[in-house]
Amino acid sequence: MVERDHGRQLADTVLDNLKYQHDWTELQILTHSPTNSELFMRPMVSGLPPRRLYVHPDDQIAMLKSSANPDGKILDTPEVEWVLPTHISEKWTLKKFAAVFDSLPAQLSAHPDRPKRIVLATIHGDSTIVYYLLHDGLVKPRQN
Amino acid sequence: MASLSSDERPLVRVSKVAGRYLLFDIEDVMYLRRNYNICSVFVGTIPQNPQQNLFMGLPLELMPEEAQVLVEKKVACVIDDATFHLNRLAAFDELSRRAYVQSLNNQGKQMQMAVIESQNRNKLNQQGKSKKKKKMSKTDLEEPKDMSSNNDVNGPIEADESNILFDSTPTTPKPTVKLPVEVEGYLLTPTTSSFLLPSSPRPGLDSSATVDIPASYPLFAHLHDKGYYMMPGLRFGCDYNVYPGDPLRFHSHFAGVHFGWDEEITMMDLVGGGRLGTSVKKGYLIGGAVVEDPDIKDTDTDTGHSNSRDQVNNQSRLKGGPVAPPVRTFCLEWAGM
Amino acid sequence: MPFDDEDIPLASLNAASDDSLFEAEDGDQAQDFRMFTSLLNGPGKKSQASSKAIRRGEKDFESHGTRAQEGVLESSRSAMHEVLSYTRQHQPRNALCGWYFPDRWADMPPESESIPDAATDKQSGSRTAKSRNTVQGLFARDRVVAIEADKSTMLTSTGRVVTTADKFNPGRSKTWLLPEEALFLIERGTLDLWWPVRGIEEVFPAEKGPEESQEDIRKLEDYDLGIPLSLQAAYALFIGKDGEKGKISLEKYQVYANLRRTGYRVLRATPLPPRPPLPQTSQSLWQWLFSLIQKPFSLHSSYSGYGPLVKPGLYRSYILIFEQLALVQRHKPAPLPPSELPQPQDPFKIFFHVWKSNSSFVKTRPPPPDFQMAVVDARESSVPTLEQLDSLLLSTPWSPLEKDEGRQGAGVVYKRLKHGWRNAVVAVVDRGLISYMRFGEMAFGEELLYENVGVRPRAKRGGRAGKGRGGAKGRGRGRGG
Repeated sequence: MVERDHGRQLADTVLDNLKYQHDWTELQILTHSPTNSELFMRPMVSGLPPRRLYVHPDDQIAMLKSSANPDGKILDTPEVEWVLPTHISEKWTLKKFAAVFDSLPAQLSAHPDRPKRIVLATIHGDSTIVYYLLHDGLVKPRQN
Repeated sequence: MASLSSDERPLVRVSKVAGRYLLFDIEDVMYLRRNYNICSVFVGTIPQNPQQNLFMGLPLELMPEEAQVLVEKKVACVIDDATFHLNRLAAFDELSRRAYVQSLNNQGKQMQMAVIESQNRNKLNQQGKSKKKKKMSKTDLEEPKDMSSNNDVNGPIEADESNILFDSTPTTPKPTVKLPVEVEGYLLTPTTSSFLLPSSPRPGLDSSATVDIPASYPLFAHLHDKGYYMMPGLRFGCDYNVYPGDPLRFHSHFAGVHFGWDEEITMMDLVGGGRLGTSVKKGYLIGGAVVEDPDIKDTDTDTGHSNSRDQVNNQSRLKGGPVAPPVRTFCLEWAGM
Repeated sequence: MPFDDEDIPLASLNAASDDSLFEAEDGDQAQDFRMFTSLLNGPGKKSQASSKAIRRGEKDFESHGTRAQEGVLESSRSAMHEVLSYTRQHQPRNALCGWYFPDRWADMPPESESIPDAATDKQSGSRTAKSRNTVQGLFARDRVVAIEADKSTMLTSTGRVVTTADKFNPGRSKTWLLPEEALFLIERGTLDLWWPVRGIEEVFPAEKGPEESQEDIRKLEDYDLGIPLSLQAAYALFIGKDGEKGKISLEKYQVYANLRRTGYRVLRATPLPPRPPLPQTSQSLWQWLFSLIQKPFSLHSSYSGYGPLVKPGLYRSYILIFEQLALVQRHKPAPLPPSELPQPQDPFKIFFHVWKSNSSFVKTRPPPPDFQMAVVDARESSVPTLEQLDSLLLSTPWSPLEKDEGRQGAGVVYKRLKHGWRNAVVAVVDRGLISYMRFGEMAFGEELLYENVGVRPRAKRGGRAGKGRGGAKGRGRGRGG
């Protein structure tokens, strides 16, 4: 019960931050897995960022090659992201991360064969929030 | 060499000295580099230019993980080299001693003659055709000793080593060229102890010494199975620097850290690692062996399938098949928000 | 730079995507051997291998399957193959030959016991220090290779003659090498190591002087005496676990060789002779003891539980005010008497003494070392505890930069602070990769910045006054923090 409240509070904080600081839309807090409707280990936030948050390096190269989109317009069609709220004082394990990914649906993108991806939001004691992308497997880094 | 298939090639002999794993034979080093993605670190001084630390030479120090992967793939055996040397040296009889010293002397002479010849040629080239004195001095030189008989002395013991040497010398001495017979010959310090090894067969897997593998071995073996090249992670404060190809040519993709399946990971470590990784254009990779759990059965196929696009293209060339237990990995990048 | 500030958008990472990031990325590993071969084969064969000249080639992000990329990789690999196929060769006339006699000096006392032995031999005070120096650092038990003649310039800081042995003892007049010295000389192609099949009496027949014994050896056929050993054999014979007689651990050897390649002089560390009891030292010691008594007394007596920290009154200098503001006890470094020196435990223990190459050097009586170094295996140890660090530092000599009364100002202060009061270098080795880290005993409180502010005439005396009183605290605005 305590864990549930803790998770809910973190999710609320992250949702507010995404909404007001990062201009995300369509934000909602999900407590149950959309695939098997089981209870999530902790509530997650889903939402639409104003810009595409992540472009796979292969797509980056493909976009550079295609002259049709010199400005990289594809970059601007955002994808729905799943955000896992955590607190800096927490300790996670590989097993817990694995469980989070296993309860998520396959990526809703043009490349369902690519590993799943979530946004890891970590809340610091001073309410700063940092966002990292966490991939479920080996994904080569972007070459910005 | 590249032409040899793994079936013909004898096992690579990894020399275990005081709990470290070393390779001394450059042929082995190149073979493993080309076929088994083993690069590791050269830790020796290069005798051609010994006053620098930029280029390092033999021996190559393998990580214990690398030695273990090679043993599991049945390409290498690990030999406790201190005991081996003391035993073999004590048992080295006079006949073999003489054969060995003579073969070394002959090699030394041939190397020196090759050097003299190339020097002479350089002089001739530089001083031009006008000077006939050069020709005079050249006629003074007598016929060299019969080269082929020298090679025979090497016998089966030394044949391997000497062939390598002669292949690598830039100028092969031709019997028609006149050379001074008086050369004493260089004294040679061979790189490997192949003279002490039984000529055939090379030691088998059963004689392999044990490898003390660290806890992070499953992660290493997993990445190695996927075709990545690993280097020690000291420079980035991780367990492994993970390269998509030979580090000679490619930047590393990941800074890899191993965790146990139930080992606690502080969020600060994740944030710090992710931040450092992103600032040097790497992913921060965490991973470890999956501990059996009934409902996790599908993850194995899941990761295997989903990673197919990211696998390094030369994985098919990797011999020996996968050796890693089921491992799950996660990559962390700064989201840029 | 995108390193520090979190809120840099991706676009600016984009802008910083030049090679400068990658320059720092991989350090000096994975050099392009093509550069090296071109250097070796070039016209000026002896040209200096400056780091710029042999900068590694450009690297790629990933394989894109082009033939050009494969070609470049292949040429790098074959250049590496060619360079490393070299066999070490020695000119027959001036070859430096060494013989492996691992048990020749096995009866000698270990290094720690050899010091009192020597001290009892000689009596007079001034000579004791000298004789102790010559015996110290001998490590006779670990000297396992005898070389025929001391003619290489490489030997100015390498090898020792075992002088404490009896006369007419075979091998006494030879130069004997420690395992790391022998291995390094072999590796760099200077030494040819031989395995003897006969006793030392026959390899070095009698003590006739180097020339004659050389000729004697030549009379016998080479293989009657022994056989030349390979580099591999040398590693097998010389590399061992810590503390094994006549061996050295691989990480220590790697650090040794790394330093020698860059030209440093390296000897195994010996307990440094205690500083001669100069009057200044005893005085400052006395002052230190005095300050111990005085400190708690003055601290507790001068502050009441309430009221202003600075007593109301007329002040003509800030110094008195600052002194009253100093509430927090600070660390005050001080020299320790030899009896109180801690015995640090491995691996955080000084193992090498290192000298810069430009200092004049006599290997039997080396000057005070420029660096004190401990060697740590990255995989078998973790970050040192404060206790380990403290005893490591306390075991190194007390060596603050002398206060020069004539020169003052920020530059001098920071130089002193950076140098520290004691310092040690820890070499961390991870499978052949080495990181050097310098630890220093710091004492910001020793540099009272307020002394240099304001009143000139008193500033000069401040240096001395500050010592006795203690309890003073810097303003904490130093950039060096």
